[in-house]
Amino acid sequence: MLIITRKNGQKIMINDDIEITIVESRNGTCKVAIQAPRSFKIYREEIYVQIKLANLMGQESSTDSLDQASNLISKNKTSLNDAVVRTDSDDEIVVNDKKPFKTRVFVKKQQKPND
Amino acid sequence: MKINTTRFGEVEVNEDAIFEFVLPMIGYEKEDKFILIDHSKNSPFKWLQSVNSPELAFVMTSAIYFEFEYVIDIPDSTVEKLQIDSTEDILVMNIAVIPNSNPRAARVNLLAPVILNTAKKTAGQIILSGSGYDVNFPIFKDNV
Repeated sequence: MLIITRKNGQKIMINDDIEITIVESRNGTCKVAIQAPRSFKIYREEIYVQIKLANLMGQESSTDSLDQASNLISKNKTSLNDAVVRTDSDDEIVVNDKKPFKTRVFVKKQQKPND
Repeated sequence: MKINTTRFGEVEVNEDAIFEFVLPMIGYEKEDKFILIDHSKNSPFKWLQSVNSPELAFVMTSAIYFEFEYVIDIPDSTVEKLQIDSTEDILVMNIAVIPNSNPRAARVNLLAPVILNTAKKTAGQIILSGSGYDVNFPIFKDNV
């Protein structure tokens, strides 16, 4: 592992296209600015670890437990959080592109006909 | 082609049903091919089954089952990587965790959805940093 000491305002270059600037460092806290191509994924480590752990737990679900959970929903013994929407059709996704540089997606439930 | 799976035995799938994970599931960087398998009719769940690892499958659900509006911003870099041409091709799914001992404690990961491009059959998991969405959102109300 490479360890480099930098002063406030100084930079580190990685390859030709990643620039890391120490913006401010005091009292054990360091503010870092990272300039990198948008294709690079940059995360705080704790969030990355959290998702990794969630994924790991996600692949341990068994078919039995899923059947039970699905039965819980279909028998309506308990409701999906704030919703009891079940539909045979595909998810409806509505999008607008108002925000620059981003695709905004609304995941909407299917409108139920009034009965 | 035939896919071996631990949970469903041998599954016959069309090549065009296979999603290429150009942005891998976090922690599963070597798993680049998955298929979606329906759980059962009217079930709110689907399985995301690895093509190469028989034992690897995630339970997926969709935020359409929740009353609140699930609004996510997909970064340009993701749109490029997944070759998304039309927003109509986007399918957003979330990983559910269903404990074997207590299905009522089921949770869903809203912070890191899986984005699928149904036209190009590309897919990827993204992290919605700063969105405030919960990584362990309870599916059932009576187990909050």
